[in-house]
Amino acid sequence: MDKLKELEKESQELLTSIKSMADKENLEMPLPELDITENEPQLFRRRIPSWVAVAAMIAGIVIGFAMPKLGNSDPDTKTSFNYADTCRSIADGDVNFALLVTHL
Amino acid sequence: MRLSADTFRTLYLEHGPRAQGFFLRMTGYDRELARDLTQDLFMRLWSARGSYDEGRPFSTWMFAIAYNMLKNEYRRRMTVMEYVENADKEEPVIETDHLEQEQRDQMLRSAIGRLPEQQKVVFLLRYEEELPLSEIARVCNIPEGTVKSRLFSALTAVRDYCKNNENQ
Repeated sequence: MDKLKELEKESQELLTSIKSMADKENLEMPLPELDITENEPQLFRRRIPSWVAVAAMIAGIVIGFAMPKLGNSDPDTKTSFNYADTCRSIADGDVNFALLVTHL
Repeated sequence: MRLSADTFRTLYLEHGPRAQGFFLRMTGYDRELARDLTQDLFMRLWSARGSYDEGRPFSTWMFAIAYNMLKNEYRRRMTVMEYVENADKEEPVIETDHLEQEQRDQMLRSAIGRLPEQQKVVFLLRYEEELPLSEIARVCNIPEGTVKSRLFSALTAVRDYCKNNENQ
């Protein structure tokens, strides 16, 4: 028999006391709340459906390219800045319809 | 193999108290820290559930991660001695009927609290959690022979401490 087993045998009473003390302590302390869900964590918090964001982005790109050529030859005017703002808003998925309609 | 939320909740109820008790004793009876570590542990286990190998006991996986978290916590606090000091200060509520038993428990807590961290972890996993030597070796990432020698030293130290204090 190895030394450890021999020592464990000699210390049986002590080990029993340690085990029962641990079991008692484990039961006495309530477990913390655990909040788990099956869903994978989302990278982005979505406020609008993804297809709306994609459609708005495409619309933003089209408008961004087409509108200055159609209606405004001077890129330094206030209108151009408004177009840029509108397109940026669209690309960000935050459609400002009032501004968009004004400039269409 | 991915664990379902229901299975995981069952495992939490079954093994959570053991993990919390392990943290409690490893941190020198810091109840708040033990609670936080337990919650953090099970959130980590849930996030890493894809890597759980069903062929091995859940407790081995759980204690391996728990021990690594503790090592990080020790590193953060710089010294294990802080916990040893806490263990000595721990003063549970003592009812007069159970005075003798409580005094004995307090002596055991002090004896275990004084062990060096490497001996304490193998001691708790073996004699409180009753893990086999091979699983303890896996949890601590050390050879089985080292587990045995640390257990021998730890048990000798606990016995000696108790013997000296019982005689006083």
